[in-house]
Amino acid sequence: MKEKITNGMLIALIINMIYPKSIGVSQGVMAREIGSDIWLATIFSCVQALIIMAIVVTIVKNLPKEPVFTGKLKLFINGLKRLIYILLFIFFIVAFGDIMLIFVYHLRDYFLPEAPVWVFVLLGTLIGMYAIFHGIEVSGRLALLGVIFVVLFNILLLLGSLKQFDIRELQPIFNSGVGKTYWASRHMLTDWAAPIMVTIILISDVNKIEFVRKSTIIGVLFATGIMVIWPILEVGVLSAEITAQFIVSCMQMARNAEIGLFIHRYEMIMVAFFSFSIFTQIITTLYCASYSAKKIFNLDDYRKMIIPSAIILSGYSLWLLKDHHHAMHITENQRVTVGLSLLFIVPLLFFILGFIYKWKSSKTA
Amino acid sequence: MDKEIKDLLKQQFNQNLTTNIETIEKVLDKSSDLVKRDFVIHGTSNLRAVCYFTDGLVDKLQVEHVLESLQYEFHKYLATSDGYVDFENSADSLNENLLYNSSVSTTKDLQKGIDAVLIGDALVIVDGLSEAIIIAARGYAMRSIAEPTNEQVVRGPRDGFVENLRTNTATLRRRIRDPLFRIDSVQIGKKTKTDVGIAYIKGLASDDLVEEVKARLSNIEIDGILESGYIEELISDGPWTPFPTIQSTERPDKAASSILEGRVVLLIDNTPFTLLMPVSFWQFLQASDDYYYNFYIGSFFRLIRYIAFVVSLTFPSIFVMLASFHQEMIPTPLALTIASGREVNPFPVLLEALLMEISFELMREAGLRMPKPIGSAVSIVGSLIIGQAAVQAGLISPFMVIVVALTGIASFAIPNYSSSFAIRLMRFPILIASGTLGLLGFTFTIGLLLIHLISLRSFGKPYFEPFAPYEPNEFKDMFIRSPWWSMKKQPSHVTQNTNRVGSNQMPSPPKKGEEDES
Repeated sequence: MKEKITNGMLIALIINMIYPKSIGVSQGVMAREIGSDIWLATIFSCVQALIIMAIVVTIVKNLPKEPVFTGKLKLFINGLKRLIYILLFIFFIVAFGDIMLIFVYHLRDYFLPEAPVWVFVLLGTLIGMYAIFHGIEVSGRLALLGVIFVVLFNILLLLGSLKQFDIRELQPIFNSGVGKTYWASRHMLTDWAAPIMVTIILISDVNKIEFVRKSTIIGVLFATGIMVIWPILEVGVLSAEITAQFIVSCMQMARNAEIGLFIHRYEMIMVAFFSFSIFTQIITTLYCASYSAKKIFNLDDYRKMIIPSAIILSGYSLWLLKDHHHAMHITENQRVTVGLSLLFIVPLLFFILGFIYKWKSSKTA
Repeated sequence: MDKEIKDLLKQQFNQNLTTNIETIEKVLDKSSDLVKRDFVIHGTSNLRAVCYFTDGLVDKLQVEHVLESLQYEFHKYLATSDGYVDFENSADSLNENLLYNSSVSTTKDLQKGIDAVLIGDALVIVDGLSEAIIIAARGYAMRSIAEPTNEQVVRGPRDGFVENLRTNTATLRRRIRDPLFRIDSVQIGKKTKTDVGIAYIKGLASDDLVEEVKARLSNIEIDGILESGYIEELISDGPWTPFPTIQSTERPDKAASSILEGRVVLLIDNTPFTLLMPVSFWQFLQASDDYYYNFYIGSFFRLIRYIAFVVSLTFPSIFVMLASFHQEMIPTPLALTIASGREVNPFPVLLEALLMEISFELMREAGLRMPKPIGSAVSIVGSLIIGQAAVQAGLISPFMVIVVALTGIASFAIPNYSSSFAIRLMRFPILIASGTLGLLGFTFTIGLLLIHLISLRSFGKPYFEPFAPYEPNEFKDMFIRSPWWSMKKQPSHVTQNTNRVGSNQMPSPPKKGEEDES
């Protein structure tokens, strides 16, 4: 029996797939470009993500049933399908590197600076492998817990930061201009590509597929709600200049937070909560990569591709994380190019595929 | 089993008494506890009969009644005046007219007859009859009903299950008088032939669940079942997990409440521990008296138990992680106190914690295995004298003693021993990972543990429900115990027949007008 996830799990997966990267690293990158308007760029990206998600879900959900092809057309269709999954696999390699960047830079830079990077990558990948061996439903369930922890994380941060918040830091709005703010939102939109691509893979596994568009929209809106707090707080508490100076600006926020006189360092508790969201990302991305690999090689079970996928994904992550400068350069430039290109190419290919299916079906009928 | 005996057991009873006796004696040989009572039935033409029973398993008074009625009353109903016996319908006539016992049956199978003798019934074979008569005369010595020592409550019934299956089924029947309450029976164990009762309420427990339980039980192939733990391990969903996916209890009230929630309870002969299924992880943190006290009290103690669970699982690991890797996270005055305590300590924190934890487990195990009076002495010597001496010698820090003692006390607060044990066991890998990799090790092991728990199922039901999958309606009876009048539904993940409490059950004082009328 094919494993199913509930619509609630899909919503939770969308939230977890966007949250960890978007609250810190991407805010820092955008702050270096547009200063205090990062919260506006975040909103821009969320609106674009909402539209893209709705279009992508419509295309993939309404993909007609595959008709019978023969001859060269069959070869072409098989090639096209394989190409889609190769592109998806490439996307998930890049996305996995992003997640590992978050995982390593949060835990290593702030807590274990002497530990080697490979230990983090290895343990993170092992968790992912263990979880997806049990199926995507486990990841869905963990995502539900991840959302609870993320909400707790937000509450803890708000408790510790609100008294330092200065709304004047957010002014003037659109200081860098509307166009530049919109252009900066590409970094966040690249982050949004991950939940959108995950939805493409998981859409057929959702229990109530008729409500999937509604679920994804709820997911995007909910994620926007709990995410947009961060750029506002980062600018209002740290200021845009300070936010821009850190790779992981959210950690600086967490480090600044204090509740009363005695609890003045509780970022570790927050990071412990945050880790579960990252684990969900690792697990889901590894699952989607293994699933894509399964489709590429036309296998019956994705589990056969867990180890090869894990080796490729963790290998790329190790290469990406060889030093901070290298990692951030890729993240700010090539990752955006690859991520956004694939975000548009893959749905387009699905659309072409659907169009051919429809054409063939009508011709046969 | 010897092939010859196997073949003999397949035989049926013969009309010739001598042949029957020879066959039975070939099978059972001359066991010292096997009693064979030959007798002649009066008023007949020297009709012989024999009664077999196992000494110690039968109520001798009942056997004597049987023998008396057979010897002196038989001829009145079944023999003609000249002593001739009509064997055609004798077994049924005996059953209907002569035997006073409440449960009498006849059998043609030798195997059934011998099984009856071995479980404590009396077997009567009459010469000329091709059927044997099985008379329920079980009456062996057993422990009287007492309060379960492992699951004590402050408020609640004091009775517990005992080793006798029938007493246990009666204890449940006394609580649930529903005509749909069923206790099906199976026998498991090729040699022990242990009786197992499957208790559930038809229509409330899902048919799929009942069928699944029966199917798993019927698949068991084992020589013997000496305790419910055997069955638990053979039918569990997670054979490799240390966490119990089936709950065991000695408390009839707990078993009855599970049945009322649509679960299935297995009662196993010769053990007071019954098995409840399916279960969720959170049930192991619930105690019976949560439901008997006011809901504020029940909820408060349940929350305390949740804290105990977290402390028991993570407290030593968090301390080791903070003291070894993340000292900056400890508030400065506290960090200085810890550092001063560790000044003369030669061991790394991880080693110190491991030594202390293992010593604690050692003391606990020794205290448990020793005779009771010595056990408490061992605990006192271990905890007070050795602990004090170790601190004074500078081998361990006073803070570590506090951490380990608190962890130990927290683990005692978990009401279920199996799950408390699983948590104790899990503490060690988390401790080692935290002591070697700091926060990374801690989050890694906790993450693995969480994924493991999330992936578990209990009879197909998610083990971590209602957290994952998320079932908001079930939270009424999870962290807190909501008032009874507000818990209108049964746990939806167990049963579909969900009504539990009627509407408008919230009590209130009489309205003003009503008060005046009364």
